[in-house]
Amino acid sequence: MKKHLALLLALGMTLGLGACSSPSATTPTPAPSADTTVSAAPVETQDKALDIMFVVTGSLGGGNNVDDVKAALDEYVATYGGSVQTFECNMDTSVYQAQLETAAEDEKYDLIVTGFSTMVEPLCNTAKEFPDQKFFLFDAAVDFTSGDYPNVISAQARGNEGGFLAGALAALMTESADAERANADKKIGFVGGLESTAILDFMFGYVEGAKYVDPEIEVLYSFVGNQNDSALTQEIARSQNQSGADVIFAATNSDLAVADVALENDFYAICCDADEAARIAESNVDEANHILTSVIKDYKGMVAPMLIQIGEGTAQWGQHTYIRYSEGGVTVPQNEWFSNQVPASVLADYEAIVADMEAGKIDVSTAYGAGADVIDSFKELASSK
Amino acid sequence: MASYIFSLDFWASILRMATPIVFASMAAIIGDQANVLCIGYEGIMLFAALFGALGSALSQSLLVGTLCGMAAGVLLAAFFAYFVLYLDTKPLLAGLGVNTLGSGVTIYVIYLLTGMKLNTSTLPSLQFPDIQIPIVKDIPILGPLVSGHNLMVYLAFVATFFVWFLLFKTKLGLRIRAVGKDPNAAASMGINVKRTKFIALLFSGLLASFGGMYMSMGYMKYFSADMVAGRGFLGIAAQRLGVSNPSLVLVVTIIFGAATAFGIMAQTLPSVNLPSQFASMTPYLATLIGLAIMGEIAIRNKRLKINDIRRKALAEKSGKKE
Repeated sequence: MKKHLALLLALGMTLGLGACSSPSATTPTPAPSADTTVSAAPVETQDKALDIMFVVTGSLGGGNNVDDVKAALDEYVATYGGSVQTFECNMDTSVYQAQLETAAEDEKYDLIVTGFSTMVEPLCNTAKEFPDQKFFLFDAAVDFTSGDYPNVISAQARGNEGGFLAGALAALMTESADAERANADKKIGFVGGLESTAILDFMFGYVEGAKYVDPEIEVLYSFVGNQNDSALTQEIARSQNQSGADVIFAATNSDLAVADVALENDFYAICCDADEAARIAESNVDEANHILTSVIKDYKGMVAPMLIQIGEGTAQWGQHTYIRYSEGGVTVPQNEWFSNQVPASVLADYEAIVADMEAGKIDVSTAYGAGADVIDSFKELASSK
Repeated sequence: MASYIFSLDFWASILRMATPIVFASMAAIIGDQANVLCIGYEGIMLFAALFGALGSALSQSLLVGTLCGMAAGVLLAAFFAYFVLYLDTKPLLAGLGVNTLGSGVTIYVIYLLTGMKLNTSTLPSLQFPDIQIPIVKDIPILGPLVSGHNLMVYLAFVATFFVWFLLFKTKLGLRIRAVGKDPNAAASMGINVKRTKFIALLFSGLLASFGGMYMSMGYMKYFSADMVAGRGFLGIAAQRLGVSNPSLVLVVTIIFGAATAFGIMAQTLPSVNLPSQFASMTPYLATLIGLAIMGEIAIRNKRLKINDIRRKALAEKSGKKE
């Protein structure tokens, strides 16, 4: 009896270990994480059909950006036919390239889709090795200047343009006499998860946006060092608020942690990745009313048009596309919680800036391809008064 | 900068950062006294954090939530203890298993319940209240220093006393220390070694559970994936640095809390602007420096002891000659 129990426990434990063997251990999904097939009945002509392999850096099901990409892929095959298979790497960078190579070796996919700046190198290596395989990289840029990758296409939303609007809004709010929670200090805050290129890109925009409104605005910036430690994120937001920041932009997965402190200490938070105010309004209206807005990269909008081009055969291979704010790459929603907090005087100025952005009149610096000296100069600009 | 360091905000920040580490380190002390190396506190804390928050959300009772969290943490500790003590698994491996299990299972459960893998912010879970101590809170300076913190912060100090009392003032504590020091001698005195270690690990799990629940029901209002973020390991480091002495360990955890709070401050204040990478490594740096100092002291003590023995031996020899 005892032996059986022991065996059973051992089995349970091995399963537990197996199910979450990645270092960051983010996910055991209900179905096995590899190779989930969604085949759909082709509705239109066959020639646009694409058999797609989606190599996910993290994991699906988090209600995050990769789920939006997956939704775009699913919608495409539902309309034009084909199939979508996925593989989740669970943030284990060591398997990125191996997984791309495995998919390419299979030779049964019309297109391999993957994303983010951590995938650039593995993708470039694989693309060189398999020149006949087509690749699509989202939310990162491949360096096409050498002309080495005629089988790759990359597209990216301008996160910095969203950051710019967030910075402009934060600056207008902190200076406004009508904004209830703004203090006298001309200070706003930025809390980043990791000090990665994508997050720095938000920061570049945020700093430029704030300085665009008033060069005397000081931007306090901090990086948590990881995306999960919500307690530390809170602590950092609290510290920034105590130093005088009354609007804090949280560019991290733990953005709600900043909104929690905003509610507690009564200041404004700006979230990212999803419309957080709308998401939590049902369970916590008070907190939703402390979230000014969210900077959202539209992954569905980024991927869908590219897929159609690829399916039609009109895609420009070997090229990178920037999807600008005006093209729907990033959105900064002005929802009811935005309207509850932003006074009319601020709204007018803010909308003028949005209109300029819409018209493409504003050029925002990007962190993609920026060297350490450029990053340092932005940090200096942030703390300058 | 100096004005901030001596401010109440900074002190409150230290207490908040130190509390989960205090619970984890107290858990580690009991484990260490029973001489079982348990590195599974991360997993145990995650379990307790999740199930405490879930229990309170579903029942809308803080007590039920706390009991759920305690049960989940103790259950996982029992699981670990059973493997190590009765199935003879290497404690290090079982601990690793508990940690990965803790991370994986909690994310799976929040995925099942909310359809998201990030957090349970959409569930209405409860929080431990902040405690205003009557009379004391009105005393200038001392009042805000001592009063107005989260219930769990006070419980952390209670836990320190509890661990000291359990280990050094009760029969069970004596047994735990005995089986830890010399299991054979303890067994010859009629103590059931495995059972005593098992009970010690359950207590250990219970303490770690409180650390976990502080994360999701004190610090934060909800559970978020992998929110323990290394605090279980920092607890073990604190226990090592404090050589399993509860009051010394408490001091070490407060130093850890201060190191983290300092890192945050040094990064945020524009006058300092420490690189973020440096800021996040401050608690670990403090551990390393502390370990180096401890090692140095240990070596010196050993040398002194050896010299002492030598001197005595010499004295004896010369005494005999005379």
